[in-house]
Amino acid sequence: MTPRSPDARDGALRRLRGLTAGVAATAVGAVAVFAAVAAATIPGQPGTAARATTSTSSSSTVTSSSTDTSGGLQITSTPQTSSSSTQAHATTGGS
Amino acid sequence: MNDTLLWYTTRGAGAVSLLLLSAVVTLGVLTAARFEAPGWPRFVTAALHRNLSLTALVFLALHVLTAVTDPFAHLGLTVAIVPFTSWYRPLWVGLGTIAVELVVAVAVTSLLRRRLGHAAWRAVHWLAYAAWPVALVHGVGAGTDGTSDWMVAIDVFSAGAVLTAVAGRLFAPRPDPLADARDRFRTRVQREISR
Repeated sequence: MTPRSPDARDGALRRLRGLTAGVAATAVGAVAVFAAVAAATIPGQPGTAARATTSTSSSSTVTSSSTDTSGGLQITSTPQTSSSSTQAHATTGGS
Repeated sequence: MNDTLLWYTTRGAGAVSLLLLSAVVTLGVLTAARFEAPGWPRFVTAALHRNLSLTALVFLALHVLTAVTDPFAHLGLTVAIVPFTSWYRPLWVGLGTIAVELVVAVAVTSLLRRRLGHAAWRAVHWLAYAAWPVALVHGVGAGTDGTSDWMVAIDVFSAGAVLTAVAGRLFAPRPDPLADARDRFRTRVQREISR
């Protein structure tokens, strides 16, 4: 062990107190920063797949409603029109 | 309080707890290795290790409290005490419970060190080496941000710091010039006693 003067010991103690206070203050700020980063990356709003239970139920709701909507929209969409025209053509050919 | 705010705080406090826990383990390894440098006597490492341990406990408590009181997650207080009872990712959350209990055990025995005696304190203190990887794995598996870039960066940084300190402890030459002589003497005495 290296012998140290009282002044060096006092200096080391001051450094220790400063470091402890600095780390504690930084940690408080870091919680806020990480919480903000977490909120920005996965905000967990309704409809997103972030929170465990909601993600499952909401995504299934979205899926089912989007299926219904797209099903409804497909009646007036182009593929449906071409399909019906094909069907009409086939009917004409049959007769 | 807004449950989303609680959820964000849980995640933020979890990340900070892991960083502090990693710093505590690193400083603990440095203390055991009798690390010192000019302007940095050994007692500063030991005292900083102790102070940061108590700071880490505060943020760990914040992490646990915000998690169990979040009405959306509705984990409940039991999850914080009994491992693997969570409805949500029971294994990963259970590992977090175990890590908290190990850290609390290490902290309590350190506060009661004079009453327990050095051997018992040292035996329990070795649990810290188990608590840290368990906490790291808990964060990867249970955390919402476990695979987020920023959380992966924290995991890598924490693992790098602890593993470097452990490697230094294992492979670096011992700073105490009499350590090897003491070990030889101790071994010889034990051999004589066992005869």
